[in-house]
This record gives sequence, structure tokens and C-alpha cells, in this order.
Amino acid sequence: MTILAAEHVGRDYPQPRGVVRALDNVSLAIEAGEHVTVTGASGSGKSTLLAILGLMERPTRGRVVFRGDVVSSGREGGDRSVSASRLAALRLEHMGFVFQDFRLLRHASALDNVRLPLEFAGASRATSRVEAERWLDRVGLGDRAHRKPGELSRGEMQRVALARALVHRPAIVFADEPTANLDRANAERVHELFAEFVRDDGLTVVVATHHHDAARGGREVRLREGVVES
Amino acid sequence: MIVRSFALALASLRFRGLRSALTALGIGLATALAATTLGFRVGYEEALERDVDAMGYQVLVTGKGCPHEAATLILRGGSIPMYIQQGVAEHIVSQPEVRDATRFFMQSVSSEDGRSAQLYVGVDERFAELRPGIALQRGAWFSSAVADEVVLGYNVAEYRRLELGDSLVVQGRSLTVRGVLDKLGTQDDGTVFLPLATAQDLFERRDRLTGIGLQLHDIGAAGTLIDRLYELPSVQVVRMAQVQATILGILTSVEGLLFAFGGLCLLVAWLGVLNAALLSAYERRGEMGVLRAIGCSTPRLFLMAWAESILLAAIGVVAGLALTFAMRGGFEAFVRDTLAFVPAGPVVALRPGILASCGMAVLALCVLAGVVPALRSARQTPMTTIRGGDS
Ligand SMILES: Nc1ncnc2c1ncn2[C@@H]1O[C@H](COP(=O)(O)OP(=O)(O)OP(=O)(O)O)[C@@H](O)[C@H]1O
Ligand SMILES: [Mg+2]
Repeated sequence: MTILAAEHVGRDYPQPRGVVRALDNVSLAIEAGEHVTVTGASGSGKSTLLAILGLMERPTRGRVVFRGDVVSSGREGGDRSVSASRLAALRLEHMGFVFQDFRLLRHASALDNVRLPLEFAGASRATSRVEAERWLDRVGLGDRAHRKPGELSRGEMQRVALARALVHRPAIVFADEPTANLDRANAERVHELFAEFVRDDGLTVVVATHHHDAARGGREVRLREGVVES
Repeated sequence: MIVRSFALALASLRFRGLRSALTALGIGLATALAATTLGFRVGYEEALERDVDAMGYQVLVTGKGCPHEAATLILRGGSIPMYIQQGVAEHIVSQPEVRDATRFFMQSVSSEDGRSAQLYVGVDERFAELRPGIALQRGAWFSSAVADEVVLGYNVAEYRRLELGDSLVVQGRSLTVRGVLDKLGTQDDGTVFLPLATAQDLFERRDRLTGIGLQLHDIGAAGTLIDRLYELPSVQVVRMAQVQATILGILTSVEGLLFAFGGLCLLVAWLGVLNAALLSAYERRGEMGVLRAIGCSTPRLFLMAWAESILLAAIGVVAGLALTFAMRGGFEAFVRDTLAFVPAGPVVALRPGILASCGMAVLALCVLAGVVPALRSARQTPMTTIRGGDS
């Protein structure tokens, strides 16, 4: 079953000297439980594609379909009726995000960082605590729950970010170069965790990376100057 | 949601501890200065009224000169180098409008190092009855109109450790302590009282008076009396209410300045919060972006950012109110050092109403100052987390 699809998606960035065509006519269907790796050189449009699929940015052309509904489309595709707050609600309910530089709140403990999506969704303090602790355990940080990001290693920070992306049981998780700031061992650990979530939890994962060798398991989508190569 | 937003805001403020503390301190100082300024305006007037009421007479007669200066000197306690002849005094006291009168002779003697002065006031037998609230704590009034005795103000007895029967040497003559007054909170606390004739004798001004306080049958008749006494060549007559108005007039003339100062304090607090909130909004673009990416709603994001300003303002105002009390003594001392005339007793009135209104004003301003930066934070696009933003 296709969970998320990009249909003829294009994205332009207006610049003083003409537009930058970051994506052009990208069509891509992601099946539920799939592990997709988006690869490509720097500037090939990986981040742009993830942002559009993850409903953080709208395409200039084409449309994005989530579970059969058009949720985001370019002006030329006509309908832009889904509001920014509706998109935020969709992200909160169905999606999780992992970033290259972790993006944890520096003043909050690992536990408080992980429980954020649950709090935003209105879960009780007790529920969010139990769930957050459970996911911290799963990424091997059960004993680090009360540390602040500044008191964690980079590898640990990224695993906290992983727990935060998963705690609210999203259907799909996007990760934009999640291992670029990590050493080999930590990068390996993060990739293994993604693989495990796909295998054991039926999670759908879309990872962008510029390392070819990082494409493991599932399907590789290769981008080149905004166009899908294969 | 509200509680959590405030908890996160508090954590964020603590994370930036030094800056938060400095901002709160700025707000606190502004609150304290505003409250002190307003409290002074109210308190000075009340203290002056207390002082004037404590005189117990409505009309004051002094030797020729500026009557208001004389009145101010009498309120403050000082030597007035203008005297009324005893004969003229009898004429004044016998006017039909006068119900009662008290004659006095006043002399201030500087200590040897010139840093302090002791006020001696020779009073007649009517003094104790006319002056409201005056009462002996121990001992008695003078045994005769010419006795070599003194009655001490409360503070004089306290500081000089004088007891009944002890002797006090004035101008080379030894006087016996006959009584000690209750604490009154006025100039009287620091005064040494003597029988009028003794004082005149001691300071070699026989038959000379510094002033006469007149109590009238009907205060409405003061005008006629003053007009009539105006004919006398050697005296000045002034209503105490007028003195009060004149002194207050001086204060009113700087009132604009006082309020401008208070307003400036509020402005400083407002700018402080605005600056802190804008800086925080700017610094936290990335942070707000990631919350947005996760799916935090705009109102919630706004609340989280705004909560920081609200908390800072609240902490600052509470600190400011505490600071107001801490500063009070220093400010009173400063005022006494700088102003020509300051009535006795506390001149900064820290009423709940004054504190509350200053606190609320600062709080409201600071809370409002946080709105625009918070809106800015709330409008953060999630894309900052992927490109351009910082962590
Ligand atoms: N806001 C923007 N304004 C103008 N051009 C942009 C903007 N954002 C991205 N671009 C351009 O779009 C193209 C694709 O950018 P994108 O960030 O998606 O590349 P990427 O594949 O993620 O690269 P990297 O591996 O370096 O992260 C680039 O040429 C980039 O310069
Ligand atoms: Mg990128």
C-alpha cells in the first residue's frame, strides 16, 4: 500500500538571477514499511525533496498525496486548500523527523525532549513520561533520561532525536543526513536502529544521505540536479 | 498546555541564567524606582501635613523677614536671627480672635566639629497643652517658669543616655533633666525644651521671642487678624496652611521631573524586556523551527515564547518590590541630604496601592513587550531546521 507519493513534484527557488530549479518533475511512491534512501551529490535536491514529502514545504508544481489524500500541491496544481496548521497537525500525527545536527532543546533533559511530540498532541504527563522512557530504553539511553543535550555525546544526542521522532508512533520518519555529524561507529548504530524499526515496527523510513554506501536494505532513490536518476 | 509552556519557558530562562537575571534586575530596578518616586510624592505631603499639624497652632507670628523662611526654619528647627519684642507679643496675644497662644524662643547650637546641631526651644506654660500628642514618658514639666531645668525629646535622652535628675550643661550652665517626652516621630524627638525665661537668659536675649503660635477661635477669622497685625512694623504673620502650601509648591514644581523620571524607569524596563525577547526570538529561530517541524501549533509556540517574557516580568517585578523596601532607608537618607526642607518621619509612603499600581504597570508593559517577539517566534517556518537556521 502506498503511504506517501510525490506526483510530478517540482520546486523552484526564486533568486535575483533567475530561479533555482531544486526539483523537477519528481514522481515517487513510498510503500508502507519501506526503507527508502535518497542519495545524490550536494545540491542535488535531497533536503528539498524530504521537506516537501515531510509537509514542511510546498512544491511549486505537482502534488503530494498522503494515504490517498492530496495534502500539498503547487500553485499550478490548483488546490492549496490545506492550511499550514493542518499540515502541522498531519506532521504531528503521522510523521517524525531526524536532523543532521540533532536539533534538541538544549535547556531540556533527554526525557523532556523526547516527550515533546506527545505533549503537543495533548498526552498526559504520565503517559508522555512512560512512553518517552520506553523509547529512550529502546535506543539504549534509559540511564541518560535526565541529562541535558550538553551532557551527552553526539551519538547519544542523535539517538535521543531518534526516540523523539518515534515516540508518538508516526507512520513515517524522515531523516536528513542523520549520520553526517557522527563517527563511523555511531553512524552504524543509527542505521541499525532505523533498520530495526522498519523490521520490527513496520515503520516507513526515508533517509537522505550523500554516502552511496549508506544506502542499505531498502530502495535507493538517486537524485541528480533535481531529477530522479533511478 | 499552559503549565507545560511555562515550565519549558522557565527551563529556557534558567539555561540563559545570567542574561535572564540581568533582565529581571533591570525590570526590578525600574519597578523600585517608579514605586519610590511615587511613594515619595505621596509620603512627603503626608509627612509635611503631620509636621504642620503637630505644631498645634494655625497662625505663626515671627520677627520681620521672609515669613515662609521663618516658618520653614521653625518646622525644621533652627535659629532665626529675627525677634519679637515681649511688649509687641502681649499686644498680639490680646487680639480678640486669639483663643490661645504659645510663645517660644528657639536657638540651634552647632557641635564643636560643626557636623551636628542641637536645637534648644524655650517654651511657655501653654506649650504642652497646645501641641497635640505631646506627652511625658517620664518625669514632669518644669517646676517653675524660671527653673534651670530641661525636658528632653525622646531621641535626645536615648542618644545621650540621660536620666531624670542628670544634669545637662548648656552654654556653661548646668540644667537638670526634669522630664523625657514620648516618641512622637516629629522634630520634637530631637529637641531640648527649657522654660522660656531660662532660654532667653541662657542665650542672652531677654524679652525677645522667636515666634508666637496662635490658636484662633475661628480659623475663618484668620484673614482679618492677619490684616490687622500687618500694620505692626516689626512682625510677620503667616497661616500654617499657607506654609504647607508653599513648601508643597516647591515639590509640585519638580513634580513633572519626578513623573518624567518614573516614566523613564518604565521605558527602560520595557526596552529591557523587548530587547531580551527579541534577542531570544532571534537566537532560537532554530529551536522554534524544530518545534514547528515536529508539529507544534502556532498558538502553542506563541505561548511558549511569550511565557518567557511573562515570567521574566513577574520575577523582575517581585524582585523590584523587595528592592523598593531595601532601598527605602537609603533613599530617605539621600532626600534628607539633598533637599532643603524634609519633614520629620518617613517621607516615602510605600502603600499597597502604590506598590500594586507600579508593579502592575511594569508587568503590563513588559508582558506587552513580549508579544511581538513571541509572534515572530511562532511564525518560524519549519524549514529553518533544514536550512539556514542554527542549532
Ligand atoms: N531557500 C533557497 N533559496 C535558493 N536556493 C535554494 C534554497 N534552498 C535550496 N536551494 C537550492 O536548491 C538546490 C537543492 O538544495 P538541497 O538543500 O535540497 O540540496 P541537498 O541535496 O540537500 O544538498 P546537501 O547534500 O548539500 O545537503 C541547491 O542548489 C540549493 O542551492
Ligand atoms: Mg541537504
